[in-house]
Amino acid sequence: MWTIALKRFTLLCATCVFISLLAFIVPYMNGGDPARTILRSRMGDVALDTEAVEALRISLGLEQPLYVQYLSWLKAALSGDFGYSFVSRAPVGQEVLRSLGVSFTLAMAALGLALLVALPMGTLVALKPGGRLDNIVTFLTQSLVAIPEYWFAPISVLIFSLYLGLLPSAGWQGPSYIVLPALVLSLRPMAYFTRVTRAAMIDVLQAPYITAALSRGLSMRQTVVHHGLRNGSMPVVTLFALWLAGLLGGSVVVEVIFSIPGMGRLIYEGVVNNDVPVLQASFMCIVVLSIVINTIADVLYILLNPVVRMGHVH
Amino acid sequence: MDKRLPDTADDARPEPARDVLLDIRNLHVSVPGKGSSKTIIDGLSLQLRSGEIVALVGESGSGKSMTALSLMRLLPSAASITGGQVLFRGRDVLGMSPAELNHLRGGHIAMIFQQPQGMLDPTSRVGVQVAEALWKHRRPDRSSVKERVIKLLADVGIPAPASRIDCYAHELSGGMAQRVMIAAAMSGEPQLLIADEPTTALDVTVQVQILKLLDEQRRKRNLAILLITHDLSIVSAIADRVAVMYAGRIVEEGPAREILKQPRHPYTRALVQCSLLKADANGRLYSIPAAPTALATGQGCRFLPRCPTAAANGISAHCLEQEPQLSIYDASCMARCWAVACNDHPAMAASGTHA
Repeated sequence: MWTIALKRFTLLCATCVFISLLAFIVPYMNGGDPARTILRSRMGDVALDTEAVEALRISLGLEQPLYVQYLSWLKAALSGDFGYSFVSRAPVGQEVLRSLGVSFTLAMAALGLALLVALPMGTLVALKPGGRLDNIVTFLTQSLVAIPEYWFAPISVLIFSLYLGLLPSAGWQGPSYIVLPALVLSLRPMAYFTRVTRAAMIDVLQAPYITAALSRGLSMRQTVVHHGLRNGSMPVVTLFALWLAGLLGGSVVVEVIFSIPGMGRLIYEGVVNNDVPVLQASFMCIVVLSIVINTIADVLYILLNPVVRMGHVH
Repeated sequence: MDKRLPDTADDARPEPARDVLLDIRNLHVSVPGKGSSKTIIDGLSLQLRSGEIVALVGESGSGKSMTALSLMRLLPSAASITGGQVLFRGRDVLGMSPAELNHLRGGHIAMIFQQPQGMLDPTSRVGVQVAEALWKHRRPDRSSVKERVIKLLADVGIPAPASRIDCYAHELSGGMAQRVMIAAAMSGEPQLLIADEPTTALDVTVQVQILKLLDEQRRKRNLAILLITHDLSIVSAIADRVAVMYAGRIVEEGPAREILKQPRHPYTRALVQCSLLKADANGRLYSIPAAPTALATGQGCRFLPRCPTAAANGISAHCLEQEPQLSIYDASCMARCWAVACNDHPAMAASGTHA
């Protein structure tokens, strides 16, 4: 158990160092000169004085070799200082943290909703594979996977905000603002979770210990609750973590459509404005957070599975 | 029992005596396929009394395990019971509602299986699984459950039972896991235990211990055990009666000692000969010829294609034309063979003088 943990931790650190390199360099590949970008952001679209650009470059240390810049950036980043946004001139660290909170709330709401529907649905369907309900649900999940968010989001706004007037169409000012974007975001993970739950439960329900539990007089429902769900939900835990990590930076479409100040929109605007510090910080945070989430999922998986927990893995 | 007509035992089974616990009458199980359905248990009748160990013997595919599962109504969804009756203490199991079935399973009939470790939920603690039937059928005090589980585990010979209740299946050896399964089965205080190849997956030394344990439980609780096995040495060790199955039917039945000493049906005889592991004059081990012609539903005897007696004596018209009935040959033994039913059968000459 502890050797596994130590191995994982070492791997985690190595990954973080590698990722920090990428996070530092990739935004520069945009091709623009950061000094010019900064000056332009401060002075508007006037013709730039070459001397001023040069002076700024030296004062920011941009004339130094890249590895020196990287090391000083890393040193600052470790203490949470990612510099200032080229555009808003606000500290990037705080901005990223705020956006991350928003995206995390949104992702958890969406995935929670997905799980709430998928677990019972997948289990119910697995009880009678090939039945009518199974066919309907298979059809539905296949459709949900195929529906793009940029189509479903405006449609849902049309129905719930415009026609029914139930929910706000955009913004981020309270719980009611979460509902629509979370609903839109939840559809695809819901479909995938349902499928995975169904497949896992079909497998589990054929296991001999299910027959044994039934032979002790447990009803089918008791058997599924006590012996089926825990074994059948393990793949879903992994999938949940993957989706959570993915949604933190990946819900760009929904965040832009509903104008939610989350990570997706922050990165989107960062790219549009060539805002290097924002991109670096967002990239770094998302990747590190993804790693942390996946590690948590692994730990959860271990807690759910005593065979792995006690190190009986071959 | 004595009034039974010799050649119509299948049809004219008398009403069971009072102490008959389980009465299987003319059970049919089949697997529906495309077009035609395949019968895997074909008119099986068997009785069990309290405190009795009956062994159901036969090779793989003969329908032993399917018989066991159909008694509990736990057949896989592909198979279904198509006829017959299963009476447990006079009540028809096949007509029971789901709630009645849940009451029957574990509370009256319990079951243990071949792969004990696979039969335990890997994510659930041993003590919890042992307590399940207790909770379900015996309505215990919350405070007494732990104590009773420990006692059950101690009762099946698990050392340090108090520390074992928090174990998981993968921490137990095969023998220990089977003991846990027996404890889990006994916690509902059933009257009948169906043991489906309970020792097949275990070491020989452990096999003996488990058999002893089963025998002990039988004596202590007046438990009836339907022991399903392919191993005749187990039968001779603890069974009171034995029923030999071939291709979905019982071909010979009677007291274990007599059947094993002097089997009449050629299949039983071949099984006994196989289990001796004695080489013949050429230094070869005996084996039953050919593979089972899986339930050929022709007219003749199902064992005919592999029957050594018929091969040695020439196939008689009887064997080809009609399947023999179970017929009584001794006080309490029955066999499904023309050689037993008719004294003028040519095979009788070869099967010895005891007829």
